Amino acid sequence: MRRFLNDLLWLLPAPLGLILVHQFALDASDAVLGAIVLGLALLMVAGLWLQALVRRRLFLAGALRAESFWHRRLRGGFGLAVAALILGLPLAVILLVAAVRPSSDYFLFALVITAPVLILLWQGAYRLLSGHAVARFHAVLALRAALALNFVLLFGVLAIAALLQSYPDFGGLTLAQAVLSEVGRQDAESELLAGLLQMAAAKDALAWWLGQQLLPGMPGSNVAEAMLVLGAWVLLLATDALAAWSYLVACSAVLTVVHWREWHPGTG
Amino acid sequence: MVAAGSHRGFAGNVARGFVALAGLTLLAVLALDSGLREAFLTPGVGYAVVLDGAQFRVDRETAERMAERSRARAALGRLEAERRIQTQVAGELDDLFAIAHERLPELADWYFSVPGEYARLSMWVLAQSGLGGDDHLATKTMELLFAGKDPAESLARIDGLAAEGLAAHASELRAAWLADLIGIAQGSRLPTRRRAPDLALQLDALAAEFGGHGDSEFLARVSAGSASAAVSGAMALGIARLGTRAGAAALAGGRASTRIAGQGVGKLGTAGAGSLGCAAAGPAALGCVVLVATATWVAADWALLEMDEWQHRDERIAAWEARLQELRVEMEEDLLRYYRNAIAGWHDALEREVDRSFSPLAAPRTPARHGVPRIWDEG
Repeated sequence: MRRFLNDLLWLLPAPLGLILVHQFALDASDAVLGAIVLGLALLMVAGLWLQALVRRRLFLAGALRAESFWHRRLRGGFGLAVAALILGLPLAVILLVAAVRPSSDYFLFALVITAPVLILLWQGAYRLLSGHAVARFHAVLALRAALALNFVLLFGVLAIAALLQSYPDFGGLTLAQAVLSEVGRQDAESELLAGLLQMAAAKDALAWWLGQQLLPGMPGSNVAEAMLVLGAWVLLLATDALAAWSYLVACSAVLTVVHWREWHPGTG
Repeated sequence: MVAAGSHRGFAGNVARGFVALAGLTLLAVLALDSGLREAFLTPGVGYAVVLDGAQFRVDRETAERMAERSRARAALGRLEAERRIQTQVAGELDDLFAIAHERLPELADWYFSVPGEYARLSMWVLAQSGLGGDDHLATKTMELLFAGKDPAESLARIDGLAAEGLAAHASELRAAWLADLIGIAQGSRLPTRRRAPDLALQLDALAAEFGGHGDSEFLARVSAGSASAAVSGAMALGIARLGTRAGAAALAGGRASTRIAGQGVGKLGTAGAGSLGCAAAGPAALGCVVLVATATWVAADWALLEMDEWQHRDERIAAWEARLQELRVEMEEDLLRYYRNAIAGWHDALEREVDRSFSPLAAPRTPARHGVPRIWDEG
């Protein structure tokens, strides 16, 4: 119980940080935003690296002999860190943009609720795996299972919210007009953030326009139009999926850093 | 020992649970309620101000300082406008009346001349018979005093110069006010934030009012030239009275009427004495009598006027100068009253516009959501 509460308390700063980012990022300078993205990316890299390291050790334990030359060479280190950085940096940017420009009015609330839900799922998975997982990797495996389930839940909630949400009426506009009108509304103190927000707005405008222009003719229309509509919704939902994934990576990174010494598989 | 440890563990869990629950509740509320989020996390309400094409984002204290400075500028502008118009009107009236003062001797020449006397008499007769007559005297007096120039044109010129001066003043005032406010805005702690503001201060109407082109239509009013129209009639009447006998009598304290009565008696006696010499003319005696009487009447008039001039010319000129000075003071007061009223109306409009433009400061704190408001298709 105490472990559960401690982990929950450790996790609460994550949604709080994103709420603060949502509140102040538009006023922040390039330097401040750069520091935020870098800090977020480093946190994610730490989590991603340790989880990659565990996966690698699991692979090595099952695939290679301990005395093998490759067992030592492939045990993970700088290469995995670079791979984690390549993944963590864009995820940090995506999370920043998602926090500044939430896909729905309930996005921030979903992030807050995700914290206790993730801890609950993790504890549940931990108990379920207690009779199956190796003790050394038990917590990490439970966390991976909890993250996967939580991703499905969070993405499902965001997707449903996106489907039920009302959007700007682009009925009388061309695609270019729709994109330009959305892009023109984005502004931020940081030119970098303004550019990112404009890209996100252009993507949203594209998805909304496609959905609104082609949706009425969908039932009896041809396959191409149906595919376009589907593509629009996939584009819309992919954003939510990326946002959900990046947030869960950040949450798992927080837990990973908290339990670093306990979860690290060692140098051997 | 075990029980105590277990008790401490339970209490710790309760405390952690309470903190976690409180934290989650607070975060959930902050996530859901943007208004509360703004109130908790944003120290001050931000205001967007557009000044001279540049957009500024200022905090509440800065916006209040801008409002105070606007009021101070409006008050200073009023004083400066009044001082400016007073100097301008005084200078122009000095120029106008200097000509009249210089030409008073010429008016006296005409006044103490036979044509002048007869003009006054004939106009008096016309006036008594209800046929008018003062217009001619007024025109003649104007011509003599202002060397043929129409004082109404000079007054219209004062109007034009006053309007130009006030337009320049309004332009300078607007520029100074803008510089003041831009300086204050640049010193704000939130000078260039481009986040959608909580409240917007629209100062376009105030800028127009400072420039004299606002709702008060200050410059349009002072450019209409109605000030000169209002005082030129009074001026014409006052100057016309200088050339009339009634006016002269009023100025001379009644001595003129005594003089006129004496003149009439003297002239009758002289004309009667001259006519006695026509008895020898026979049939033409009647014509001779008329001619001699007329000539004698005119000669007597001339002699009496010469004597009157010799006795009272300086006194009359001094009285006219005093009256001209009074007239000048009255006109200056009338003109300044008109312009002061216009300036006061402008100042009142400025104060109202300052109050209106900065009225969001008095409104309750109602922070808005981030981002530009959108029109959503509720369908």
